[in-house]
Amino acid sequence: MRSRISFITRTAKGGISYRHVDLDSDFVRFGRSTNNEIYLKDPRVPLDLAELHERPNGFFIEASGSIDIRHGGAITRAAHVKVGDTVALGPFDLVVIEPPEGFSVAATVELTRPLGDDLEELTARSTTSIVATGISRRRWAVGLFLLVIVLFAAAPLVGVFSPSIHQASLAWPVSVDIAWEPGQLSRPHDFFGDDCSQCHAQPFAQVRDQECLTCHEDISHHGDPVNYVGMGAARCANCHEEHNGWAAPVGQDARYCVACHGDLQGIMVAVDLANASDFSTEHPAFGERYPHTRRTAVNFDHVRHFDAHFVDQRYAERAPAGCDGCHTVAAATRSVMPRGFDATCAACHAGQIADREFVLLRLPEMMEPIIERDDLMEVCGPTLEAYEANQERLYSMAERLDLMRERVEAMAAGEDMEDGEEEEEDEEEEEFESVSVEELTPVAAYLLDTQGDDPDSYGAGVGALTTSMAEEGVGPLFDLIAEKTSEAEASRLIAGLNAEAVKRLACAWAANLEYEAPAEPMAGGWYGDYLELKYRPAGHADPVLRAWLDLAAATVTEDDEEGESLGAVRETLLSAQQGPGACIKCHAVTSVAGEAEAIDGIDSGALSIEWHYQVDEARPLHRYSHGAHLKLVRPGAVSMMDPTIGCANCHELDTKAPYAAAFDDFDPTTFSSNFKPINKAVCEQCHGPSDVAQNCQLCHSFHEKPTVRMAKTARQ
Amino acid sequence: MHESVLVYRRYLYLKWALLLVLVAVVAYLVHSPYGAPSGATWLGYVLGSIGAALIIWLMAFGLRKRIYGPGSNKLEDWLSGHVYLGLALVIVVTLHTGFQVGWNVHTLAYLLVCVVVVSGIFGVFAYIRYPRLMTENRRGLALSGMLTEIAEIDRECREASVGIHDEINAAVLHAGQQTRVGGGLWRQLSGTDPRCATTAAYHRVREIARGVPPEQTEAARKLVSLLGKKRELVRRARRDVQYKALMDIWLYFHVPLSMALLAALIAHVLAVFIY
Repeated sequence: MRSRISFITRTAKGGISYRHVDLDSDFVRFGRSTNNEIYLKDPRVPLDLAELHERPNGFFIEASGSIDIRHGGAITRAAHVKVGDTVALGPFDLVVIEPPEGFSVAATVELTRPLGDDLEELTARSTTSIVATGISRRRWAVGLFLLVIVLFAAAPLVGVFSPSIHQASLAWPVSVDIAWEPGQLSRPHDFFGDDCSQCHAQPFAQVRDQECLTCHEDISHHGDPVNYVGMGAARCANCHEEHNGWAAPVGQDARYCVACHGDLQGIMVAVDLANASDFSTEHPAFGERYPHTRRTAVNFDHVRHFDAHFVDQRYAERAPAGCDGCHTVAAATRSVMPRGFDATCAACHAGQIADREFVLLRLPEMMEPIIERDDLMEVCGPTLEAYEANQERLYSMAERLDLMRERVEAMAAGEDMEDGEEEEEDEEEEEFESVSVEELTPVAAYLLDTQGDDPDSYGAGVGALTTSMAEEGVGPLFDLIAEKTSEAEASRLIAGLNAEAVKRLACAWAANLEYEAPAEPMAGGWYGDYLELKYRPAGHADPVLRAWLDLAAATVTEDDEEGESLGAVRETLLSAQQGPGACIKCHAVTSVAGEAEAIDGIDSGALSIEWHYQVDEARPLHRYSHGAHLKLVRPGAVSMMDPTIGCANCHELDTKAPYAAAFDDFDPTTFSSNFKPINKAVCEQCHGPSDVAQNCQLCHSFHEKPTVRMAKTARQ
Repeated sequence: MHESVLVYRRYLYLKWALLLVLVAVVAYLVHSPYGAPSGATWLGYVLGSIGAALIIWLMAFGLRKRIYGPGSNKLEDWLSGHVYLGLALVIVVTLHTGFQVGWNVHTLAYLLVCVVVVSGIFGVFAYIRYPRLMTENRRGLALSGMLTEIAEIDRECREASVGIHDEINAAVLHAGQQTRVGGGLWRQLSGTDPRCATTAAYHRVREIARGVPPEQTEAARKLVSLLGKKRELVRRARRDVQYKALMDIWLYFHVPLSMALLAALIAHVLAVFIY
C-alpha cells in the first residue's frame, strides 16, 4: 500500500507547516524507536506504539506494544479507521484524511499535548516556604489574641457588670468567674465555688468587711475598739488572705500582732498590757496561776491520792499506773478530759453511793388518826380490812390479858372491880397513840408549807396527803411537787415511783402502822420503809438524785418563812455528812451569780453543782493543744509521770497547795491548783528562735469567738 | 565588620538583664511578706509592673523592625535588648508569681511568657546555626538556581532516555514530572521526601540498566549518572528549604503567642484591678 503521513507543526504566530513522509510498504509503524516508519519523538511514546495496515475490508490500526491506543476517545487495541477518524498516539493525534491521488491512505500526525516547561512545572509543584503553605502568622496572632480576650477578659467582665449573666453562669459547667480566680479558696470557703461575688461585691474595690460579716456576724472585736487609736482602717482581709490553698486563711506571721503589740502605748488609749514582740525576748510572764483560772469541777486531790491513797497497800492495786489511767490522752485537745467515774473513781468509791439514800417523806408523829377506820376500809379496800381484822384480834387478846392481869392483882389485893372503872379504862384505851415520834422531813415540810416539828401545824396536811396518796397513789405527791417546781421537773424528781407501792405505804400510815416493804430495791429506786418513803440511788450520776440536788441548789432562798423552809431543804440535801449530799463531797458547788453569800454555811443565792468537767474558757484568746504535745510525750512508751518526758515534764505537783480548801465556798475563782503554774520556761524548753515555731498565732487567737453563724440571709 | 546581636556593644544588654535579675532575686529573698509570697505583695506589684512594661517593650520590637530609615536607636540595639531582656523577663515574672500557679488567666499569662521566651530562644539558636548551614549547603547556588539545574537535568534525562527501554523511559518521565521540593509544613521541616520520585527512578534505572541491550548501555549509564546528580541536587534543595523553614517556624509561635500573651496580660491586669 502507498501511504502519506504528514507531520503538522504550528508556530506561535498561528502558522502551519507540513512535513510529508511518503511510504510504500505493507504497513506503517508508529513509535519512539527509530526502527519505526513514523518516529514519534516524545518520551511519553513507547518504543513501538501502533501499526497501520490494510485489510480487504479497509485500513486498521492496532497497538503494537503494551500501551493501548485511543480511537475516537475510546481505549482499544485495534480499530478500523476511515477518513476523518482520529487516533490518539500518546501525546500525538493521528487524523485519517482523504488520500491524495496515487496514495491508498493518508493521515496527519500532530503533537497536540506537548511537554510543559520543566522549571515551571517543578517550581509549581514545589512549596519552598511556610508562607506558601497558607499558614498565616497574622491570622494566628489575631485569632489567639481574640480567643484569649474573649475567654479570659470579656467573659469575666460580662459577669462582673451583668449580675443576671453572672448568676446564670454559676449553673454552667464553667462559670465566667473561674478564669480570674487567682488560687484555691480555703476549705471553709470552698463552698463559694466559682462565685467571686460572694466576697468581691463591687468591682474596682477591695473585699469589704461587710461581706465577711454576712456569715461571721457574731465575730468579736479584738478587745474594746474604744481603747485603740487608728484601728478603724484595719480590714478583715488585712490578716485573712484568701486564695492561698485549703488551709484556713489566718495569717501566721507574728508581725500581724507585733504591729500593735510591739508598741501598745502608741495605739492604746489606756494601756494595762505589756508589750510583746517576741516570745523569747519580749513577752510578759505568764500569770501566777497559769493556766488555771478556776478550781476543778471535781474535788480530786492529786496530791492526797498520789501521796496517801495510791501508795496505800490496801488500794495500790486499784491505783492508775499513770496520768493516762484517768485522763483521755488519746483524745486530748486543749483539755485532757478525765475518763469518767466508772473508769476512774469507781474502783474505790462505787460502793459509797448506794448507802446515800434520800428520804422524801417520813410519817411524823400524829396527834390524832389520819383517817377514821371506816373511811380507811373504803379507801384501802380488802387488804386493809384483813389487816384491820388481825389488829382487832390482837387488841382483843391484849385487852383480855390486861384484864386478867388486873383481876389477878385485884384478887391479890382483895378488891372487886367495879363496872364503872372498867368503862373508864375502856375510854382511856380508845385514846390515839401515834406510831411515829419523828418529825416531818424538811422536803415534806417545804412541800406542805408547814413546820416540820409542829404536829399541830403539819397534822392536817400530812393527813390529807396520806389519805389522797392512799386513794390515788403518786398523783397527789406529783401535784404537790409540781406546784413548787414544774410538771417536767416533778416528773424527773419522782421518776420511777410506783403508784401501788405508794398506796400501800399510805394505807399503812393511814392506819397508824409501819409499812414493811416486801423487799428492798437492790438496783436502786423508790421504796417504802416503815415510816419513810425513800430513794436509793442506782449508782453514780443517778438522775433522780441529781434532779433533787439540782433543785435544792438552784432555788434562791429568801429571808422569810418559806425561805427558811427551803434553806432547810438545801441544807439537808447538800449536806456532805448524810444522805444524797455525798455527791458534793466530790462535785463542786458554785454560785451562779458569782457571789457567794452564805446563810448558815449554805449560800442563799442560786447555786449550780458541777456535774461535768469544766473546760477552762477564761482565756478565749489563748490556744493550746495537749493533743499536739502529747504526741511528744509518747504515751504508752514511757511513764506519764516521767519528769523528763512524761506529763510531769510540764505539770509538777504542788504538794503544799491547799487544794481541797477551794471547795469550802462557792466561788470557783478562789482556788489553789494541785499543780505548780506553767511558766514561760516550760514552753521555752522547745519553743525558741531556733527551735519549734514561736509565732504569736501558735498560742493566741485574734477573735474571742472565732466561730461562724450563718445568717438567715447568708448566700449559699 | 558584622557584629552579632549577642555581643552587641560588648554585651551591654546582657549586663542590664543580669542586673535586673540580680536586683529582682535579691529583693525577693530579702522581702518577707506577712503571708505567702505572691503577686499581691508590694514587691509582687513592683515585679509585675516591671514585667508588664517589659512585655510591652519587647512586643514593640515587632513595630520597630518595620520602621526603616535612620533613628535614634539602631535595630541591632533593639534586637540585642529584645533577646537579653526577654530572657530576664522569665525570672522577673516567676518571682512575681511567688511560685503560685493555678488554672486561671494569671498562670496562663505566666506560661505564655515562658513559651514565648522559649520560642525566642529557639529563634536565636536558629539564627545562629542555620544561616551557616545554608551557606554550606548551597555552595554558591541559591534555591532558584538549584531548581533550574534540576529542570535542566530533567530535560537531559528525557533526551537520554529516547530510544531506551520503555520502563526506563517511564521511570525517567515519572521522576521529572513528580519530583518536588518542600511541600507541606512537616515536609519542609523534615527536609526529606520518603516517596521521592527521583530517588525511586535512580534506583529503578540502575536496576534495569544492568539488563538493557548493548546498544542502550551507554545511554542507560548516562541516565544513571544524570539521575544521581539530580538526586543530590534535590536533597540539597530540600535541605535548603528545611533550614529556611526552621528559621521561620519559631516566629509562627513567637508572634501569635506574644499576641495571646498581650491579651492574657490585659485580662490579668483587669482581674487584679477589678478584684
